[in-house]
Amino acid sequence: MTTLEERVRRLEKRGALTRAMYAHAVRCDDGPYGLEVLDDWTADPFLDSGSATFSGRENLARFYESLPASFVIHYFTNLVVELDQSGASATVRCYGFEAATIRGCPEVGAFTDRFIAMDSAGRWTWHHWEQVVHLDGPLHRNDQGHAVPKGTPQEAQRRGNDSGA
Amino acid sequence: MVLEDRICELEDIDAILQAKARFVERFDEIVNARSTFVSLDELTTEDVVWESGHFGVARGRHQFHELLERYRSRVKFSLQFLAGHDVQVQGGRESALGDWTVWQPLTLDRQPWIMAGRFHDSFVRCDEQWRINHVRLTEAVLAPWDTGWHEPLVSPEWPDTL
Repeated sequence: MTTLEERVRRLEKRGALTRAMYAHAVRCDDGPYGLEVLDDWTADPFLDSGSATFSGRENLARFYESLPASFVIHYFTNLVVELDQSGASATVRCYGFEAATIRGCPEVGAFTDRFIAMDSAGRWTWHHWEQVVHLDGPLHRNDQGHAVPKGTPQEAQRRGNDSGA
Repeated sequence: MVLEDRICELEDIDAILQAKARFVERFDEIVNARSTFVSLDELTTEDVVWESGHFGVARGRHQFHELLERYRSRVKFSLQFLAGHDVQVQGGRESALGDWTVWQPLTLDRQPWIMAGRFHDSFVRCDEQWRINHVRLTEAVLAPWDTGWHEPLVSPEWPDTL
């Protein structure tokens, strides 16, 4: 029989995990991808980014350092949290969306993520993360299908076309 | 309200949020050709109603399966991003209402679109599990990704029926 105390504890853990996810989004955006984001991972993390895999903190650091965005903002939504019986770990699925600036061009990405979270002394960290990239590319393309950089005459022309001018 | 009832309400709200997230996740998996209808049936009642202004209406699981077939015959990509929930458990813990805002990039007939709107759903509790029994989607924006949204917010390019 689960006690009231245990039921409240599980609700608290689920709430803490959700807040940790939102805090992770902010940490990814800071910098962007400042290496403080490694604090959100366990000592032996694994990440499948959708295009490559990274094991261990050093490789994960190299992954973050390689990301070319000069600006990014992440949105994590649709969290499905499956706490294990002890409450020490959880399987999480969620949706992710990002708006970024890469090489002067506005870009967008949409993902679905599945990961294992570990509760270590009341703090949730990510252990094994698999990402599926569904959409990733420039917000706007020119007639040749290339990204349109922000602040360029091409972008101004595009905005003019969109507004019917 | 006694402490146990208050905890039950919090658990119910959490379970309903999970049920809705699973529902749209599996809906999108079906559209994105990664799942079967069986997995969605686990989350709905037999008499589930799914209705929207611009995607169609289905009453009961059989019609819902047919609507999904029509939907995925033309929509090849979908992700329904949910936010801004408001869940209210009704007295007796047998039913609940839930509202969400949704933002959805989708691909219709090989063209990228954006949909934004609101879900107004109802749920019933069956065998200790919350199931969806009514989904009502109100579209506020339905626009080609390339041109964006402007008046009218629902583009005349959107087909009359799927």
